[in-house]
Amino acid sequence: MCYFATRRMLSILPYRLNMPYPRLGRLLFDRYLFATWLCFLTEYQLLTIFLVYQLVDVTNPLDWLLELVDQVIFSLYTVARVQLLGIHMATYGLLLCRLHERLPSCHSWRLHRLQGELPIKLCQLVVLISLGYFSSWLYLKYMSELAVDVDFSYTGHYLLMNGVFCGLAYFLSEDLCLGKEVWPLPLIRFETATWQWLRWHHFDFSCSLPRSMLYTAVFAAIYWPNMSGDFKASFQLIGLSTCITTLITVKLHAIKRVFGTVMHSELPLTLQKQPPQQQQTLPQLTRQHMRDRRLPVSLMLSVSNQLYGFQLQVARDFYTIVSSPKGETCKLFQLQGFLGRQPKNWTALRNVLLGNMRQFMDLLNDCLDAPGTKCKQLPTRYYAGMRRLAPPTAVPKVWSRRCCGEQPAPAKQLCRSLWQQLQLKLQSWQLQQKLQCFCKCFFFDATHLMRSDKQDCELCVGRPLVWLVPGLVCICVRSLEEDRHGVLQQDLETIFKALNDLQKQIFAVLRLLHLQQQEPCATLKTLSQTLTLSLNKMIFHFGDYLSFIINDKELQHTLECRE
Amino acid sequence: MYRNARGFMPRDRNICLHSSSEPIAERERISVWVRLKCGVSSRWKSFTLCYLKLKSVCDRIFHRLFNWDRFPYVGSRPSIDELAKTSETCGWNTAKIRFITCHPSSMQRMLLTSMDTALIYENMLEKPLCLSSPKQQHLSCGAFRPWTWRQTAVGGEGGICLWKFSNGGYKTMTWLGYREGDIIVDLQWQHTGILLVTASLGNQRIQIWHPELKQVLQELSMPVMGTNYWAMRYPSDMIQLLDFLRTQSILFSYRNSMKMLSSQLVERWPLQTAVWTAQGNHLLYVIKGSSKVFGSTSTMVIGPLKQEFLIWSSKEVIDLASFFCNWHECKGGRVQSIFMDPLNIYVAFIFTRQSFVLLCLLHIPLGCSIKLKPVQIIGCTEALYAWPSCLAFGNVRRSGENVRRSLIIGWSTGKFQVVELYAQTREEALQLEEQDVQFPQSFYNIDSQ
Repeated sequence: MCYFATRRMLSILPYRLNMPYPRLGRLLFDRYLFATWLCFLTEYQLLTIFLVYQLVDVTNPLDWLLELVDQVIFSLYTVARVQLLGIHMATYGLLLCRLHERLPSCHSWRLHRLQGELPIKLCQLVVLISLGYFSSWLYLKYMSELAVDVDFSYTGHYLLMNGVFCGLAYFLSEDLCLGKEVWPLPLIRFETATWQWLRWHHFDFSCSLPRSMLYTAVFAAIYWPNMSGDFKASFQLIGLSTCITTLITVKLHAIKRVFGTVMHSELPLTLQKQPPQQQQTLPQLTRQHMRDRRLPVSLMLSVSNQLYGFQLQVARDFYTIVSSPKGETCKLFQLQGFLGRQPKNWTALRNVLLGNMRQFMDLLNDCLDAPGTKCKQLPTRYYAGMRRLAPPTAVPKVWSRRCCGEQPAPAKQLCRSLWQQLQLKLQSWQLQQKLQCFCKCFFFDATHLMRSDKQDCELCVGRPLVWLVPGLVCICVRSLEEDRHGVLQQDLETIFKALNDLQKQIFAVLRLLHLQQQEPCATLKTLSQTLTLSLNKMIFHFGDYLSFIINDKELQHTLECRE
Repeated sequence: MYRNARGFMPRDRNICLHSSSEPIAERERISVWVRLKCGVSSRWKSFTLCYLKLKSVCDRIFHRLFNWDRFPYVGSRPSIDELAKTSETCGWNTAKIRFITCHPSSMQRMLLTSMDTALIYENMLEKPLCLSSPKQQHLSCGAFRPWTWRQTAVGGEGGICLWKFSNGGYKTMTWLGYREGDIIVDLQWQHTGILLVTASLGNQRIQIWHPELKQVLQELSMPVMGTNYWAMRYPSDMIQLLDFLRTQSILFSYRNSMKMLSSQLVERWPLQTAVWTAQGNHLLYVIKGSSKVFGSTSTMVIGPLKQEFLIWSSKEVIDLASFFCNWHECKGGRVQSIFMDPLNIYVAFIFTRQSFVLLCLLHIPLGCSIKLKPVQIIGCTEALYAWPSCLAFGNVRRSGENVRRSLIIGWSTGKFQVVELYAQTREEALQLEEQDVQFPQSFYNIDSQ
């Protein structure tokens, strides 16, 4: 039942099955489904823990265990109830995937940014609150069925509200920040997602236990006036609420972790342009070959791919493939085809990499050309205490000669009513203009495409380049030994030129930011350092042959004069 | 009654005529509105100050609560004595030269001295550049950043100093801080030069830093003391090593954790020191407090489900308690550290209680176990009663040319010795040994420069 519901959700997912690369869509969709299924099983795990906590009967453990498994966990009612929670988890996972894959963009108007991101944040809030509520509801249902000795009218209400509060608090602590990275890309991942789940590593107790204690304490404090004076009942209530809060918090953290682990599993990439299965010229061989499910890197990195989080992962996996000594890089330089032998794999890869770099350079060009947006100058200053730059205009002397020179304004205030004074004060603050300015402007005199204080700005689309450029350089260095046909040699000049131009652009942007006394964003800093290091490595390895490779005298001179 | 007092009060406040009426007149001057505003704003200021203080206290508590698993200390905070015991430098407490390292692709060398300075030698003829800072204390390790020629990282007590220096003597330092009292034991740059990998004593963790963002990107736990020796000394970089050691199959992926890798490679012994061969197929290691050198070799095995995975097997290579060198019997003792030649020809040993450095030839025949043959004993000819504290192999690798290698030994008297090695292949080295050719050496002093 849930499978069909999720299929209907296909249109909302960022991975459409009829997209240009159907295998990619299929892979990502399969991962999403697998993650949802693992979350279902997580829910069963937590439910089992809860029931064990409630029902533990030491005298007849085997009977009780059999009864638990047979009548409670695998009963139809349980399955139906857990489906409800499962839908919530699937929706939450969907929203997280959308956030993960959206392109980082900069909105020069704060209103636009709110407009863009508010719907998804609201959806997250609603899903989390509802998930908290229904989790509490589920546990209460079991408690009432198993006839636990608790006053349900009061306890029930308390625990349901507790669940809602958990969801709300989790949202405020984790998901409130706009533009935060959902799943940071891991550098080294030891275990696969399945093994992590099997060894219960998705339960991050160190993170969730302190939080659950905090939520219980805060909620109890909020509800304190409503609690009855009976201490025994109160203790029992607090014990129950601790248990349920812990389960809900652990579950919310586990969902994020499970999704993150599954989505960031290793991608089956290949450097060949088309894996052997897709060749049309020799159809009979395809039946004999194993079905090659690998995705070609050149397609995955192509510019029209709008999946940002996925692109980062592809870039990193590309670097791992290319830099490991036992890889299939040798296939990269193979000549293919029957009549005209061409290095199709290398050409495709080179076009994609240089295309990415060129697109980023165009973006930087836009940055440098765009005039800074100037905000409408307000008629008064924000800080009323600042000294005026120009002397105040002379006050007309209309007072009696007894207090000559004194300003009439303070005395005049005594004449007006309080209400009028308040109105004057409000007007002098000019709230409306300030609000308009706040919504419209970010920085005065700032290049509006680069917001340096936030994690994401428009330039963050270049973050995959941090892995792609070292990967390209790695291929070039390896071609010194592995390239038998001299396939890469003709392109060396283009590669040097592209790297050099990109570095010049980045330096220009950094200089502009320095002049405006702004901190460059993290992507720019990392990218400039990466480019310097990569160019140094290229020049170190090809230094002796520069005059032979590069025909452009100016470029050659620039490269040789580098420090 | 006092309303008309204004007309009669002089403008100069200095002339205090009616001191008793002064305060009342003062109150008259300031209107109700202004007084109220002053009171409210002062209370608001004190309130915000209190709130900020409370917030900072709360932040610290919650940060500690939420990250309690990141600050576990094994027992008490590590002390300098513990560092001296576990360090690869012989006699860390009294040695004048504590660490030597060379740039991977140029002639630069860095020496860390007991005066908490780092000396950078561009070539041996000029005065070295001296890098020191009050934050830099009890230096234990350092590394040059690959693919740059003016950047280096130095690790000591409390954190890491990243230095950028120029020919003209201009230096800048960035500080990556750890908890107070934590000591960095090992430092390594990733092959591309973007990331920095460190191991610290108090934390029992290996951390991967991004120096530009000044953040820790990932942490790995060290299950056994000495894990950093095999994890971080891989010829290219640690991330590739861990990628290489992982098993990819569905069933056997449970073997992928630092504990399992450590038990596969070195059978979970606490290590004194370890080195990899340049291709990364063999690991030579020494267990703490022992004189035996073990070699761990990998073999590719096809499992029952047609997946491939690596199996590592350890064998004893040589026992250096007593060995034969040039037909003389020599006593070795406990091994303090091993160093590997970049071309895999020589292996150098420093012993805990001997005053010489042993140079061996490495031989890895196909399909057989690793063999080490002691060829030369290098002693300090300039001074008596000097023992070697640390050692490094330096090279200048130019594609297409011969690789010039040198062996730099730091002695306890504050001198260091540079020995030039010429052999490019193992056969050449054997020939040189047979003909008893002496390697050219030169001594330098760090005090006088």
